[in-house]
Order: sequence, then structure tokens, then C-alpha cells
Amino acid sequence: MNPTSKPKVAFYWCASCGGCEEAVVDLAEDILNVVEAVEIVFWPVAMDFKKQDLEAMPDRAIAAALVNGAIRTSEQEEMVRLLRRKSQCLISYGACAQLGGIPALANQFEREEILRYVYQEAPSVINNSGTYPQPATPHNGDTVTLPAFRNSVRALDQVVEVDYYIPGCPPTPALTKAALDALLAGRLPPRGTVLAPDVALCEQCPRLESKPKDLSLDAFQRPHRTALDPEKCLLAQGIPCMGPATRSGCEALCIKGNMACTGCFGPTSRVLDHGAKILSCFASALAPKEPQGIDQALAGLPDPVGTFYRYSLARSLLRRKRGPSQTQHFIRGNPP
Amino acid sequence: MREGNWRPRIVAFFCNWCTYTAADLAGVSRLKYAPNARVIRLMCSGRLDPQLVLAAFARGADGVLIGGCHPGDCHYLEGNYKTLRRFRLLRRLLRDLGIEEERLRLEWVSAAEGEKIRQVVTDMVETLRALGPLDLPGQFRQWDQEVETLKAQVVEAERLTPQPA
Amino acid sequence: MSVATPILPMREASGASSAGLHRPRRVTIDPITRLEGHGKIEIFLDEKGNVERAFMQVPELRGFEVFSRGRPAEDMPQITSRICGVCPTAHHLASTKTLDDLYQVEPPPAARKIRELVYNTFMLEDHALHFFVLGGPDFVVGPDAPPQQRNIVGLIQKVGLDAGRKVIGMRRRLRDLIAYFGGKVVHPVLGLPGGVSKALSPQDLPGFQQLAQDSLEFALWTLQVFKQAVLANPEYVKLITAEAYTHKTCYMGMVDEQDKVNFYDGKLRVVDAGGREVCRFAARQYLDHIAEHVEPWSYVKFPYLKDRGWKGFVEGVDTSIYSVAPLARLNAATGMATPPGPGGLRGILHDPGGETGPPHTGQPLGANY
Ligand code: SF4
Ligand code: SF4
Ligand code: FES
Repeated sequence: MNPTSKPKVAFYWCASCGGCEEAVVDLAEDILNVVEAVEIVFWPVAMDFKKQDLEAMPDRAIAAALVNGAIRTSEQEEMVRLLRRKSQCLISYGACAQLGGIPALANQFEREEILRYVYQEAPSVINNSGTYPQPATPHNGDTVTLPAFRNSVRALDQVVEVDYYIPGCPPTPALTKAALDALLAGRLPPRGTVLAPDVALCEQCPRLESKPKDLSLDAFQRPHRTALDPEKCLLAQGIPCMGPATRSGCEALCIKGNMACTGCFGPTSRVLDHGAKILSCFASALAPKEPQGIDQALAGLPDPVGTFYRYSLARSLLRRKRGPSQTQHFIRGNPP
Repeated sequence: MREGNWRPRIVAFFCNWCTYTAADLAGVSRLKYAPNARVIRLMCSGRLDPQLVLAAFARGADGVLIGGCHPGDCHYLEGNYKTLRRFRLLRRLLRDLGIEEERLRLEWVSAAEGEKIRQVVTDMVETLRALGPLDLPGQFRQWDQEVETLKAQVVEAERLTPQPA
Repeated sequence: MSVATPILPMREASGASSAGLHRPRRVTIDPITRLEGHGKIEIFLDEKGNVERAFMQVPELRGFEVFSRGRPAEDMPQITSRICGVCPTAHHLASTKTLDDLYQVEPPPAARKIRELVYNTFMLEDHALHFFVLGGPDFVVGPDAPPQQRNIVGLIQKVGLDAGRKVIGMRRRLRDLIAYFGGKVVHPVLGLPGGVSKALSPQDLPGFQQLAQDSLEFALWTLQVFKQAVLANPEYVKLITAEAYTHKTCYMGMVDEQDKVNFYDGKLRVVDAGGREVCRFAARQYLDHIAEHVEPWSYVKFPYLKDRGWKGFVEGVDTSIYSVAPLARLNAATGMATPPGPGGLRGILHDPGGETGPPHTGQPLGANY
């Protein structure tokens, strides 16, 4: 086939870990078919195309761009706007792009607090001159620039319009393949769809049978303090498992590793707020009826935000921690 | 929003069998209570999905008040206990996200306690007045200003660059 | 992300900006490619067209140091693995070992063996990834190949579809082993203080034993590919041993009691560019030996040897900059703990120039394999 007649595909990463790129490489033998069927025009982790190659393309020249990672810097915003413009279809790939992911846990902290700790206060840092990364550093009459570090971490669709979502941290090769096949065959569902089954993970869980209809737990347990029964529903053992509020599609991978689901596939389509949904479920699963007993039972959940919104804080209804200094967050330069 | 004529907005989720009736009673007997509360009737406080509490805040509520039957009186037996557990966990969650715990309040009010309703609402209005507006919608707009500014620049730059062939 | 990223070959640079008739004073490479992490390189040239100064910039910050605070300790292995999804197993197990230390628990022998098995398997598949997908195409496809071909696709065209399938198939089997214990291969979940979450069932053992056999053969075959594609080509050998690609730093790696390489446990040993030991310490003492320096032009910090103090971006025997990862690991040790296979790795790295003393990180091959 003439390479230019194949549909063009781009991959890009924003605030991410590279795990989503690995997930694509983990298509393993199938990647050969993908490479056969499409022309990859941009993929920093694996190919040497540059930003200017992208800029030189006509608008909408790319059939589909798969973008992973959350959005934290002005450069990431510019890149996703560029990709949006050059692509017919923009696909959010992975939990960070869809929901903010682990990097969005930073939304519990102030921008200035993050910069101050990372560059000044961390015990490993020696920075007597009080240097911080700067938007522009002069060098012999030229400048070397850095993008702005934003006040908040955002999901991709909080910056540009997104056509489809492939969930997971990272997505599985099977879901990726199914999505690419659907894309190539032009068999995509309505815009805005999350390309994974729209039922809770418990439905796919090998331990579902041992999950009681009504739970009545005395307390939540921390996983390293309990001898885990490898057959029994984790929630029934008092382990906070995000399965009941999380979309299926991963084939219960963490459960097969004998650990609780932490929610990386995000919620199903009927859920407004992933964290509030699991909060509701966990609170219902407890037995105590008076304040003191309840608080004791909840001691096994020392970090509600980090547990309930492990991957979804940016896309939660409240989006981030509200803080005192948020009136000055759009200062471009960094402290002092 | 001008601070001067700001009035705290409370979204109140009341159980049909108790608090809602009490509020009705308070209204009928013309007990004066602050007009700040928008009441939503539920068949049981246990039907209140915590997502709706967050949604109320996200859409501009300064406070959320939940009213249910006294312990032991829930018509569906366990509903109010569930509510109590969710409430205690929700308050911790809100606190960790920088929202003062006092903005979420749970009260047990029986159908006969019209006066209690008046007191609770008045008291909560006072508390919220002291805390000041939450105004999350305004906050979201402010947070997003950085993105909007860049977007405008990009759109302008695209307008000026010729489209590659 | 490795801080001591080797400077890219200059052909890369000239291809990156329109050279035109006049010489550009500034060359921008954006983004840097075929490695995990975000980066951009700004190169400034003098009148003669020589490099006056180069900046390797990391244009982003996520802030794990900050947002990990206040979280339950046992969540850290899964949170920190998101530092890098290409080497999540490394971060996951480093964090898990920190939990052992925190709780003062020693994992039982079986759990330790499972961790070592998972980690060593990861080392194998990750190096295969690097060799065949990320860095290797530079040499196997060739540094003169057009950028559109200098990647895994071009590599498969060069080595043949069968060989391509062999690499992909072996990596899949190795990664399946990690997933067996870790649930997920990218961001595994096995680590708990004092142990692992899942045991090995005896009926699965023979399959893994077979895999061990096959992967040894695979490693030897990879070595063969390396020899044929790189060492048999005098031009490449000249290139990789050239002064321009030599970067003399200190080297840090983990060693056992006999100073042999150990991937899972041991002391951190640092040697200088002449091979002399600079220090050796347990991981928990890292703050006594490693400090971080801040520059205004990058969001990434620059770790250096604290005792030596920050001396700037200088190389040589006295530098406080150190490298880590494969070459550094070999330099910091006196050898491998297991007997070398035919044509052992260390021999390979020493052969090209036939010099004594450690090979240095700027040698793009040595640093990466
Ligand atoms: S709660 Fe967790 S362990 Fe239990 S059935 Fe659901 S997913 Fe499985
Ligand atoms: S079990 Fe949960 S956390 Fe684990 S991969 Fe599946 S959705 Fe993600
Ligand atoms: S019926 Fe009133 S709280 Fe349940």
C-alpha cells in the first residue's frame, strides 16, 4: 500500500509516565498489524518526528491522535491545541488524560507550595541562591524558555474537545486494539464515549460470588495488616476496593494480583463523581451507627481524597483543593 | 458578586417523613426563618447520594443542610444511619479539599420540631455569613483564566498563520 | 529519566533546524525522542559553528515529592511507580523496600525470591525494549538512516520480520511473568511491607523455568545482533569510542558484598572516572551522599555527590556529577555475580577501544546497554 494513503495516526504524551506508550508497545504481535494499517506521523517515545513536522501538516490531516497524560503546563496546552487542530479525531488515552490521573493528586496542593518544596525545602535540595525554574533565562543575548507551570492539573477535555476516551492506568492492549480496530473500520460509537464496558468492575471480578449483597463491616483494614484470602471479595475482607464504583474493562488485573482495585478505569457513564460514588458505597458497607464507632471504623481510610480520587481528582466535581492564595495563581513567573 | 448584598445560599435535603414536614410546619405557622434555604424533598435522608452534595457546592451553594429522622425513627430502618456514616466521611473529604466542615451539616428533626428547623437554619446562615461566600463557580472561572488566556492567544496566532497545504 | 542524557549526535541537530545558507546560531531539538520523559535541547553555536553551550531542558514538573505527602505509606509503591511507566517495576520495588525499612520487617525468603524474580525479569525485558525500540535503532538501522526509519519499524525491516517477532514474543512472555505476580505489568501491585501480595503456585513453575532457559538464549542472540550490527562495523566502533562521545563522570551502581552487580539489593557504590571508589552507602543514607542542584532553565533538578559539592557541568575525575544505569552500574562493580555467558557483557564494553579503565557515559552505546 502506498504509505501516504494510509490513515495517519499520532501519539503524544503530556504529564504522564510513559506507561501508556508501553501499553501501545504491549500490543506485541498486533503492533505489526497496526504499523501495517496506519502511517504513524508523530510519536516522541518511539520515533524522531519533531513539533515542526506536525505544524507543517494541513489541518485535520491526521485521522486520529491518541493523547495521554494530564495537562499541567502551557506547553502541553499548546501541543494539544495543535494536535486538536491537525486531527479529525482526538482520543484521550489513559487515566491521566481522562481524569487527571496520579499527577492530579497535586491538586491537593498549592502551586507555590509545590515549587517551594521541590526547589527549596526538600531535604535533598541545596539551593542557597534561591533559584527557581524561570519562564525565560537569558543566555548571551538569547533566551532559553520554559513553559508556565499552571495552578492546577487538568484532564484533557478540560482544555480541548475530546472525541473518545480509552480508560486505564494504563489501558490494556486488548482495549487499545479494539479501539484501533473500530477506528480503522469506521465503527465508532457516539462521540464522547468511553471505549470500555459500561458496567462496574465487580461484574468482571473473579471474586464476585463471595461478595455479599449487604455488607456490614466493623472497620476498614489496611492491606498490609491483614492476611488476605486470595479467593474472597476484598471488600468483604474490609479492604477498600474501588471495584463497585469503577468501570470494568481491565479484566480485574489488580484483583488477580491479590490487591484491591484503586480505580484507574474511572467511573461508569452514570456517575457524576467517582470519589463521592465510592464514598457512598464504603459508608454503606459499615455496621457502626453512632459517631464514635463510625469514626473508628473509618480510621482504616486515612486519606479519603487520595483513596477515592486516586486517579480522578482533576475531573471531580470540586476539581482541586481550595486554598488561601488562589487569587494570585496566574502569575507566570515562579517564586520568590 | 458584591460582598455587600451577598446572602448565603443553602441547599437543604430534607426527609419527607420528618424534617420536610417540620419545615412545612415552620412555614405554615409563619415562624420566621431565614429564606436562604432551597429545600429538596427526599423520601428518606438515606436516599441522598453524596454526589449531589458535591454537585450543590460545585453549582454555587455556600452550605448544604441534611435533615433526617432521629436515630431509630427512620421509616426504612437504616437510612439515617447510612446518612450519618456518609456525612462523617464527606466532612473529612471536604476538609481535605479546603472546604470548611461547617458548610455541611446534618440534623435530626422530627415532624413536630418546626422550631428546631427555624433555629438550625438561622444558625447555619450565621455560620456561613462568618465563613463568607464559597462561590465555587466563580472559583472555577478564576482557575481557568490561565487556560482561556492562552487559548485566545493560540486562536489569534492561528488566524494570522497561513494554513499549510 | 536519566539526567546525564548523552548529547545527541550532531547530524540530529543539523536535521532539526533549517540550515539554509547561513549557519544558524541556535539549534532547537523539540521534543527529544525515543526515550522516556519530556525534553528539549537548545544548542547555541559560535561563529565557527561549534557548540558554545547546550541546554538539555525538561519542560515539566509533576511534583511527586509534594503530592505523596499525607498518603498512607502502603500506597507509595503504587503511587511512585507512576514516576515512570517504562520502569515502573524499579520505582515500585524501591518503594516497597523502603516500606520494609520503615516497618523494620524482613520479607520471608520466598517473598524475597519472588521480588528478585520479578525485578530481574523486568531488567531483561526493559533492556530489550531499549535495545530494540528506543536507543538501538540508531545503530541497527544506522545513524545515517532518515529519521522516519530510525525506529522499531525500520529496525524490523533491517533485522527481518522473524527476528522482530522473536523480540516481541520474548518481551511478551517476560512481561506476562511480571503480570503473573504483579497483576499489571505497567504499574504492578505486588509490593507490601515485608512481602508480596501473591504466591507462586507449583503448577506454574515449569513454564517459568522454560522461560528462563529461553531468555538466556534470547540474551545471547541479542548479543550476537549487537556484535554484528555494531561491533562488526568499524565506522560505528570509531564513532562510539571517539573523544566527542566520551563523557567522564562518576558512576553509581548497586553492588553486593563482593562488589559484584546486584539489581535488587546491596550497597550503592560510586567510583570516579578513573575507577577509584568515591563512596559506598546504604540506600537509607542517600541524604548524606546525594544532593540536588537547581537551574533556572529546567524543571528537573540535578543530583550530584554531596561531599564533593556542586561544581557545575564539568567532567573528569573530580566532577561531582555521576551517572547511573547500565554502563555506570558495570563501572561501579568489579563484575557480574554470575559467571559470564560466552562473550560476556563486560568484555564487550571494554573491547571496542581496548583501553583500560571504565568506559564513559558519553559513549552512547555504553551508556545505554
Ligand atoms: S469489591 Fe473488589 S474484590 Fe469485591 S467483587 Fe468488587 S472488584 Fe471484586
Ligand atoms: S483493578 Fe482497578 S486499578 Fe487495577 S487495573 Fe483494573 S480498574 Fe485499574
Ligand atoms: S425516613 Fe427519614 S431518614 Fe429515613
